[in-house]
Amino acid sequence: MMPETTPAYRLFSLCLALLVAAAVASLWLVARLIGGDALIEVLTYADLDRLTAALLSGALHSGLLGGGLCLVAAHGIDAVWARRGVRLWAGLALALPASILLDMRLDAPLLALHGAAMLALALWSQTRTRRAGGLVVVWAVGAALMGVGLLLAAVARLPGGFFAAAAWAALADGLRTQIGAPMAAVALLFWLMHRFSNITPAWAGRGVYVCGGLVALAGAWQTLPAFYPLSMAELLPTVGAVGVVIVPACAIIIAAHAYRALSDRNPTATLAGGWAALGVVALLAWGIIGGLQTLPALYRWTAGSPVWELSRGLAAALVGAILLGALSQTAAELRSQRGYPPRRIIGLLPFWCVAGGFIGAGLAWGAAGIAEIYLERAVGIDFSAVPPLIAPLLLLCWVGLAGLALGLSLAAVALWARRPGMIEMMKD
Amino acid sequence: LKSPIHAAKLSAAFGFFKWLLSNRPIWNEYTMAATRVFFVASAAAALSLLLLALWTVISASLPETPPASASAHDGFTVWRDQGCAGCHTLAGVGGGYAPDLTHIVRQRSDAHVREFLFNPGAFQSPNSSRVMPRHALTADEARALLDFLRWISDQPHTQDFPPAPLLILADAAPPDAAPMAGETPTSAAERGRALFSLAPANCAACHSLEPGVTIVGPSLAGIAARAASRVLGQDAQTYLRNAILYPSDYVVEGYADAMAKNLGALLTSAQVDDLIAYLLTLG
Repeated sequence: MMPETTPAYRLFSLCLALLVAAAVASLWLVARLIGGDALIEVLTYADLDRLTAALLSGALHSGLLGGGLCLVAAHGIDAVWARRGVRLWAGLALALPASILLDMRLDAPLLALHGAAMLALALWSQTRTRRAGGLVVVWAVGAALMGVGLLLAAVARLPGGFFAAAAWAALADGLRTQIGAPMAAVALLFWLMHRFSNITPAWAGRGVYVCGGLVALAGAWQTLPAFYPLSMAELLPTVGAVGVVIVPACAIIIAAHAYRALSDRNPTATLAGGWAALGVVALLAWGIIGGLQTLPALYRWTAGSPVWELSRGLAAALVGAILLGALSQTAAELRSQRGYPPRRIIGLLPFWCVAGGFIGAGLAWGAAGIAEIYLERAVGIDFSAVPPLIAPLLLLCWVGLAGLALGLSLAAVALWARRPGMIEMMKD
Repeated sequence: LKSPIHAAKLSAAFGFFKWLLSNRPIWNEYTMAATRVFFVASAAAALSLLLLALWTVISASLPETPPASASAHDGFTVWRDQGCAGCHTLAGVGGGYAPDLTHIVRQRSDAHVREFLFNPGAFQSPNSSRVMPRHALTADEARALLDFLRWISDQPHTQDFPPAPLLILADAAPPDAAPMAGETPTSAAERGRALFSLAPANCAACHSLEPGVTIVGPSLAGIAARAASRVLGQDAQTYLRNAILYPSDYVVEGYADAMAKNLGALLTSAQVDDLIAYLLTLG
């Protein structure tokens, strides 16, 4: 008989499946940029980009909801209703990419439903766990900001002027990807650190408040550059430029907290520490690259370029790595495999594939972005002549993404192959 | 530093780092409350910062800028609904797959942009793998889009974007500027071109004008050159007339016999002549 799995485990599994799909879609997207895509008439670049973003959003939203349920469950509260709600959510998470593939143009209402679900779970967690401490509070605030951001994204599509709509969209995007998601992920990071290291729950409870606040500040400053070209106010770039100091400093302080846990591991020896370390690498890169772009003089060059995309991608990578750490740490217990060595649930190979792929793809994408800006905007080479020149860097990025996709696929296969029923069958 | 409260008053940052590096129980009660306050204050500051940014955009700057005409506003709707921002950037907002269009109206004539919108495949550089999809805009939509792009280009705060003028040369020479559909075309080929993407013919629904791009039927790029040698004994004009009126007589290899069989009833003989005249320009 199959041991019962929890809603959190199902959400984590959905997250992993969608991450695999998002990685494959990213491969397709970069192949499109290189120019070797025979399916160019099937899906336009813009639709493919939307599809990739939708899959990634579905994955991160599902994982963060699962993480929230884990945090709440740690306080002894069983979300019974969530068992049925998970199927509804899975349908909702899959509806967004499906609507893009079927050209149904339902992005805005579906994103609003995502946001409503995030907001509802955040509020519910607060009503049930008023004295739960920092982890649940910071996660709930992060999830609520994501929910508000998703709802605002729907509002931003309402009729309005270009600049107003762009400003609302920038606010929605910042709340969701630069503040809400990293903040909720930081709460999960501290929960994980408490489980794989010797830090005390009280230290984690204090640290999560500090780091949650720092993420909010770093995310807000990283969002500001999107407003620079939309406004004539000189105050905005002046205030925004302070971010070049604040954002990296915030990232370094959060990393220092993580270092304390990573350097004092407990004997459980799960791979969560490795995933957390990968998340911290992404966090530092997010802080440095995003911080530099708060300089108005620099943002003028990077706006709309792959370098600007990179800082948003790093925020997603930070969240994704922590979610995979949470899955690695909790998979055995969430599906009632007591006594099973948790290290073996996903294994080392997927971790190294994902880590190597992420770092390689990130470096190559950043280099391609810088080369594109230099060639196109500084040297003044014709726009259509630049893509062939940066194709080798994009090819390296594709190779890195292929490693990442392979690692995620291996993780999914390992999770499936080592499910309780399968192991019992093999023992028999 | 006799007490934690005193320490925090002296220097919040110094106290924070001291707390970070120490784990003495004496800090516990104070820091829990302080960290909670720090979290609330930081989150509030972050949200205030973003709301301030939003306010500066929505209320502070717009009255000084040239207002958008109704047509420019419609053009923004076209821009948004057609998903142009998925590939193009305007004032730093959008994707980087295709050129920044903030000041495209200064680099190209209106006729050039309209022609590009009608038939982007004709402008496709052989060196570039990036393809602009055909959006089948009406003449009014194209005009509104142009008005919107002109309005964006005139905004004082978009003058710095992009930081250097982008070169969009493209190797393929654009066809001569010609009036859009609905603008009283004068020659047979121009009338045929308008018919190509409009009812009742609406050939563009199934045939692309980009080389190698298949929608349903074969691409018609270069059809004028191929038509004369398709069927033995038929010149290009005869072949095209038969292909429109009796499509089942000759089906291009690799394609199904899916073309509408009632075009003879839907089109007048003059319209068929116009279409043929246009197709013969697609060398």
